[in-house]
Amino acid sequence: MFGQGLLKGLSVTGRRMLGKTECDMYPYRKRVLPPKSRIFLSMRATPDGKALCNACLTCQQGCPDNVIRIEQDPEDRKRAVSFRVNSGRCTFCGICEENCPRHALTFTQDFERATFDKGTLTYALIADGTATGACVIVERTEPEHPASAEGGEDVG
Amino acid sequence: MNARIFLTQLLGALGLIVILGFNVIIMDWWERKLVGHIHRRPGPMHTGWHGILQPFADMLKMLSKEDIVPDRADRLFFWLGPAVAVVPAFMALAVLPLAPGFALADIGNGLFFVFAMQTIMPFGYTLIGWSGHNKWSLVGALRSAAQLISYEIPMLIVALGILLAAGSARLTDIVNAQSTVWYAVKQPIGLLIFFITAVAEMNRSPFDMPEAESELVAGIHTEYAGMKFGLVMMAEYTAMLVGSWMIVLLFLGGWHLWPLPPSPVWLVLKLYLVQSGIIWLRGTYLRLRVDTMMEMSWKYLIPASLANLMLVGVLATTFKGF
Amino acid sequence: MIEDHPRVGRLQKDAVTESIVLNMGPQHPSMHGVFHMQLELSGETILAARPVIGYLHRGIEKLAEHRTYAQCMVLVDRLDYISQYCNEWAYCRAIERLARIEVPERAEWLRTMYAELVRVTSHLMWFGSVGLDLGGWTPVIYAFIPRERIFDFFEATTGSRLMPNYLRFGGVKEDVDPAEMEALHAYLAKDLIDALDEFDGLVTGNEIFLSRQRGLAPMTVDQAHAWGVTGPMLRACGSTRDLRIDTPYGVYDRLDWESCTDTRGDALARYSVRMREMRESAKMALQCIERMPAGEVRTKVARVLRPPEGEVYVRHESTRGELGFHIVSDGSPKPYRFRVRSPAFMNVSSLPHLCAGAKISEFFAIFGGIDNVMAEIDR
Ligand code: SF4
Ligand code: SF4
Repeated sequence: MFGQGLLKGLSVTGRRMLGKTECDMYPYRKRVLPPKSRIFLSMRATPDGKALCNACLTCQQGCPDNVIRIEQDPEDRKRAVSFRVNSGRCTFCGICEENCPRHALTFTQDFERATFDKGTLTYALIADGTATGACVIVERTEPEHPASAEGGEDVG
Repeated sequence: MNARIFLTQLLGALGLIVILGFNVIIMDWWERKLVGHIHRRPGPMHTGWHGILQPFADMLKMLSKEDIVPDRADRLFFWLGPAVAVVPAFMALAVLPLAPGFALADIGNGLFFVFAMQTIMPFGYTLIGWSGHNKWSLVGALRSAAQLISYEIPMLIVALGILLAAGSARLTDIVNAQSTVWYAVKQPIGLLIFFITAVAEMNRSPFDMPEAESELVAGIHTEYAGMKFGLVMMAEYTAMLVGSWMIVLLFLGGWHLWPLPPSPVWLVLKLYLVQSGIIWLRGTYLRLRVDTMMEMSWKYLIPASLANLMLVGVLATTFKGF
Repeated sequence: MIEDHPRVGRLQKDAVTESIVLNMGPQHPSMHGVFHMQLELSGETILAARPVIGYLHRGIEKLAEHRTYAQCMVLVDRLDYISQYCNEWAYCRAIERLARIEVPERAEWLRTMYAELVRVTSHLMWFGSVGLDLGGWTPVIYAFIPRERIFDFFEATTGSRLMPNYLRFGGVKEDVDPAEMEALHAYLAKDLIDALDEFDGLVTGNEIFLSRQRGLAPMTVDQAHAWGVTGPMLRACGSTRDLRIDTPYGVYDRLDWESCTDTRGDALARYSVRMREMRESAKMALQCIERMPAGEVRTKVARVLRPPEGEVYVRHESTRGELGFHIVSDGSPKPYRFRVRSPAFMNVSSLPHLCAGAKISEFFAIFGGIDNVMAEIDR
């Protein structure tokens, strides 16, 4: 009968009108993102300020968007002097994290980093050879498991 | 005219404008809340208790916005359009009674005065749309003219049915004739047609052709910003108030809620219930197509309203006291 | 020809008025993305329509030539960002065929599950925008609630809601937590179906909606073939073409499902095909979760892949139609040529023919049924 669908629609919205709402009340209640969520790049470091990175440059060369800038120690090529991340360019693809043979890279779930100055989006994970405050402190020093992908030669 | 009457009338008119502003504020908030809950979201929550101060924030925003007049717009009519739309709506309110005899002017021809005022409004809308020098608003204006004219006819014919039954065009008399049984019960077809046409006259969804934001950007008021836009919005809410007030007066017994004693409280209650119903419709339905809408008026509503008038005429002459 | 259209022809003969040109988009509240449509109007009737594309051109095909195959996956996500897994899968299939990489059994099941889930989310998005196009705000907000729930699953298992970068040559990135899978199963089996029933109550049976969609912009199979239309739009005019059946891949041949078709060919048929497809896809995803065998999800592939010289073309049933990847390899780690056959591009090419003679308000009803994503059209 004509009008049935119209009444059905009213009943649907009428029920919802009296039901409960489904919103995340964002600034008041924050969402906890799942641990796999890729938000900002960070590095694992030991409590005494030593980053797990051994400056193999895999991440720098594998990154599609030239986000990572690593400076190797000229004396000890297995040590990074600085490790800078220009997160304004990052597409959060996770290639760097996946390929890191030392399992040093990780992502934090801290998403509130909006800024008015895009210069502040570049941050250092290693400065002067020591891990900065942007790193995640872990107890163990050995990687959890060897890198998931087998190495080939590195082409940028 | 003696000075005292003139002064009371003037104060009354000012009071009316205050009430109108208040109504716009309440409806602005209530519409957001209601549509929000239909959408399963809470609506405004930040400003005050459950966002009750949101309309004031809106108003501040509108007042502080730059008042842009497009380069090639017709300046005079661009300014005049919102005024032409909003003033008749205010004037119609002058004859709408809140309680027996309690209206700014309870004139004997109140019913037709309201319709006469409503007829001016499409003129305002057309001016709004035409003067902005924008293709979207031009299309919106043409739609608005066509729509409002074709929906006025069935609306008036249904109102004639009421006139026939009540035997008076004074709105107070019409309400008092419904002290026990509402015309909604006696003329249900009339109520249905009147409700549909009233919603169409208010340019509310699902008949919001003139602004149709998914098709015409913002329709007639695409070029309006700042307080002029606020005025257009005010015209729309006031039209909604007038339309719902007419529904309550003509069909829902006004201040009568038999068997309880009559009181303006019932009228206000019914008024906001009707407006909530209109908001509910907006939250549910998609927009009609322009030509379907015209078709509906000319092919179905006008014949149906004529049939309704005939039926009422027969019943009113057959049964005394119908 | 547009001029031969009966409604237009009559109008043009009798008309003494001037037609106006209305630029719909690229900035318009209900344009999907930055699509620009030049409409020539006589009153509210559309005499001619000219789509103008290219506002979202990012040069993805060229960019891909400067990236390694694995890095291209990031670009592929951004082609059609509403059906990411379908794009990734099509691209993976192309490279796997080129480099002869085997995919483990469980990975195929996982890929099928993700592709069907993303078909549900994509169609939910489309459903919402149809509601918006026709002037109702409620459908879009209702549709986003199940969509967000499925995205939560994506985020918990792949790390990203929209740009997962999850599929790999020879499998998927990592296995899925069984607890997540179980929660999703419970959701798909009950709540999603309830939500779809609610949408049917809200829109499908609504007389206003039917009056706007029935008989609108009809298309025959021959026309559809001539214009290169594929996917749900093609199936809505009576064709049974569905690459998931015609050229089976993944585990579609082992699932119990049927391709949704309609014979009417109008806007309503396109709507009903997609609505039914959502239920079928949910059913398929459920079957995948139930029947998925245990095992490896990824074969070992060199991190910098060098496929042998040659070229490959892979066709894939994406949510919008036939998605094609044509990849030419010269043996280096980067593709020599990377070409995408975008389904939405072909579908949009039917738009001028479909809307000739329609009203402005019908335009969006037709346009909504095409379900285009500008990112994929402009690339
Ligand atoms: S997530 Fe992707 S874009 Fe960002 S730093 Fe890692 S590899 Fe580069
Ligand atoms: S891949 Fe890992 S170990 Fe190598 S440079 Fe990057 S962070 Fe350091």
